Amino acid sequence: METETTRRDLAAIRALMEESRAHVSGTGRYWILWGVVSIFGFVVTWLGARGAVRLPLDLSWIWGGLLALGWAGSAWMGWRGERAAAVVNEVTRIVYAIWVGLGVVLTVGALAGMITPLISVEALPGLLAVTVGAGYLPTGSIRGLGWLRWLAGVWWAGGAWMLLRPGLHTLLVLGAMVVALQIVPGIVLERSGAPGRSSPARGTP
Amino acid sequence: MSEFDHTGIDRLIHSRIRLSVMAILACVDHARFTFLREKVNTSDGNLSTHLSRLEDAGYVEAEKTFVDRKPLTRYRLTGEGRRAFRAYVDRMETLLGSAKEDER
Repeated sequence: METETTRRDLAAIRALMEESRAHVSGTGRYWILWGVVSIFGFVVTWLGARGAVRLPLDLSWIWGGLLALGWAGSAWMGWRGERAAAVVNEVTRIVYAIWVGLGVVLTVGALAGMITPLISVEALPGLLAVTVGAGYLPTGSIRGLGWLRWLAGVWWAGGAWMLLRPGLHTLLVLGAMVVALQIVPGIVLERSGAPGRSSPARGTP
Repeated sequence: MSEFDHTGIDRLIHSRIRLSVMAILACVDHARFTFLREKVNTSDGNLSTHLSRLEDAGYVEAEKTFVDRKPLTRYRLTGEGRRAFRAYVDRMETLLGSAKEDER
């Protein structure tokens, strides 16, 4: 009997360890920040390209500023978040490394597209969507969130469509995708970071 | 032989709350007090008491900091704590293994 109780306790403890190992602290807030920054950029670019507003600066400077703002915000949140995080573990570091790596790829790609003739500006929205999707698949797998893995597929399908149908309208499509697939999931992830499941130690000394 | 030979079991870890805390901290770099409380599902006072015992034994280290002027305390397992936890788990597995043999 005692053996059975001990065996049950150890199984519950093992489950608790798995939960703690898989816990990822605060990635949603970065998605929200970059979502807001990029949507602002898409709208400005779209309005400027349509001639609806006269931009005071070249687009590459505007995007350079926005990207710098995004990175500065991320660095600040990272510094503050590491101290305030509920838990810091290996999985959190892996997820952060994936997104920092993708962020660098996106930044270099976007700037190269605007400054050099190497990447067509028209191809940028599609390429950005495909690259962002590449972050959702491992994030969803690591966190055990199937819906995030599905979102990777939506990013890729959207990116492929934008590459096949290039044009100014892709900025609006990408903006809508950022709201639906990045900002909203970011809010969901932030909210799900609060109270979790109970453990086997409930009410015991 | 009785079902359990308790010899060699670390009595300090052999409590559900302390064992839960040690198990969580063994899987992470550090965890906040609130995270531990939520996972262990106990009161602030009860958890503090158990954490103090683990700290006194040198198994756990506390680090106090301020974020937005709010005090935050996070805990991590020390090297000694990690070794003690590993030894505890090994001992329990051995005991459960012998109990299983006895049942046959």
